[in-house]
Amino acid sequence: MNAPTPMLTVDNLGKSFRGLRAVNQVAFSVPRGDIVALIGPNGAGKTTTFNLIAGALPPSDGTVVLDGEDITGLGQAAICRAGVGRTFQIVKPFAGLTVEENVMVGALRHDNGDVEKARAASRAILDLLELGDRAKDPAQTLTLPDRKRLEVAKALATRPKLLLLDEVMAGLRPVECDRMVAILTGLNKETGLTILLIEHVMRAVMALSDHVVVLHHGEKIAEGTPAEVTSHPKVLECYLGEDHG
Amino acid sequence: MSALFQDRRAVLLLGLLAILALAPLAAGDYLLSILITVLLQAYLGMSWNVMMGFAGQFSLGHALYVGLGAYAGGALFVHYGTPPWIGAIAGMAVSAAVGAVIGTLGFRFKVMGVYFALLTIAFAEFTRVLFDHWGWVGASSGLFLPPAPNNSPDNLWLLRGSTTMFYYVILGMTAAAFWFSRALLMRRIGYYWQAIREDQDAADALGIDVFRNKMIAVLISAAMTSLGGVFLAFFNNNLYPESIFSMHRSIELMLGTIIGGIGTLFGPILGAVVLTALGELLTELGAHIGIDGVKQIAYGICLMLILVLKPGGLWPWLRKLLRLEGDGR
Repeated sequence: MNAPTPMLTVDNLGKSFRGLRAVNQVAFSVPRGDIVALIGPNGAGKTTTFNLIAGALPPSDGTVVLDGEDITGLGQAAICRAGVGRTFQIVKPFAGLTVEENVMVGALRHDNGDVEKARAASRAILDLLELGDRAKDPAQTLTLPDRKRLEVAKALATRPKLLLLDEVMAGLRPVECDRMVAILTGLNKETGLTILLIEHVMRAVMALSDHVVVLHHGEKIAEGTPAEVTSHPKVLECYLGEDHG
Repeated sequence: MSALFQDRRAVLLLGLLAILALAPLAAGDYLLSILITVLLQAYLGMSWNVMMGFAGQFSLGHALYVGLGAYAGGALFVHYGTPPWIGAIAGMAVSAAVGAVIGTLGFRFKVMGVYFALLTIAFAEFTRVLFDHWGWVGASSGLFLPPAPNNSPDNLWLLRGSTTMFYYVILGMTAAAFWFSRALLMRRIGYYWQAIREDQDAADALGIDVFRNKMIAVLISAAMTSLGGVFLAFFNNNLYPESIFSMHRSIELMLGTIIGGIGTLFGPILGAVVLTALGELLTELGAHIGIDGVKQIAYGICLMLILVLKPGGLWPWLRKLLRLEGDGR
């Protein structure tokens, strides 16, 4: 019996910045419809891995396959069009546009660029992310947690098959964090959206993920269910140091 | 942005258009020629605004396109009697082609911001030098368009005629440019441009073809600007490379829009009115005081004051004051 094609397969992925090896021989896959978390200490190469997948950086080695299609080394825009929506850890709102217009920009690629349809799509997504009442405000007036939600809204508007979330929980209060978890789980359940996320907030990782991949010094050191990786000796070692026990 | 203008805005605009359309009944030739200057500046400002205000690509050499349009229309008319509207097509095509070269060089090789602006200046400057030595267009001694015989009727097709005729032509062009700018801004491309202007990397990540959309902005802006150049050639009847391609013109061209409000629809018009009124007023004042250079100094101080007090331009501020907020533009 053939296993179904994973939504994302990363193989032997590597990136060198001059002499520095930021990502080395990373391989994992994200099954269709799953939520997978990428965790690791600061500087582990998580965001670099994201940038390699999303095309913000060209990989030095390895392949990235989305839904059976090799997208390695395509540019950011082409990879988005292929079905990868991403958020930025350092948020990038279109500051001079309204919140609604920010999301419309992502939606305009669909429906032949019909502006009113994009506006309706934008409103629906903003309502989902509980930003509906800020729709007409300039994006620059949003607080950081709201900007994080706006990042998710913009990425969702492109109608991705795979959503890459880079620390969208950071800075959220526990209640807000739980809301975001609920929203993402809802999206995943209702639309079958596949999600790969980088997260430091363990509360969110535990609640959300089916599967966790742990990076350290640019390499994968463990993967498994949330419960498995949190008791994995190598993971404990890299987070807590060698003398933890 | 609402699909239709809010009522008050539409009423105000139509009222303004009506007043301008009736102006020749009351105004003499002198006042009309000042109004022509205002409208031409507004038109050119809007053309520049498409590239800088909407798409965020800084051109400091837009005199290049004014000159190319002016010389294409003027020289074809002088040598072959080609009607200006046909010459304009040639001028716009040449301008768009040169814009494509500048855009390709700039955008493919990631020349951004100030460095891109330097590239646009370089093209304007070496085109000026080229025209200074090109005999067919009169080189540095200039190109002169034959004026219409006295008392001949206005000829709209050949753009030979009275000040009133020129006034209506530039009024029509400015109204059309306003409508066109608004239509661009309300379409997908308008949103894409603004996204690129605000954050090119984020726009790219949303699947927008950044290069293509920036190129379209350059081509449209260049073509619009060169049509203004054709008008200028036929209104002035004389063309000198050193004045038409000058850095001074490039700066003057964008000044109205900067004062009025970059990226806004009405800013270029407001800016042109304010700058011309200010210039005329200070000239009067300077004549009374009788000290050389007072006008220029006062003019400079006024511009600085406006930019310090209202860095986003006068229109966003005035719009708030008049409660014309509708869509933030």
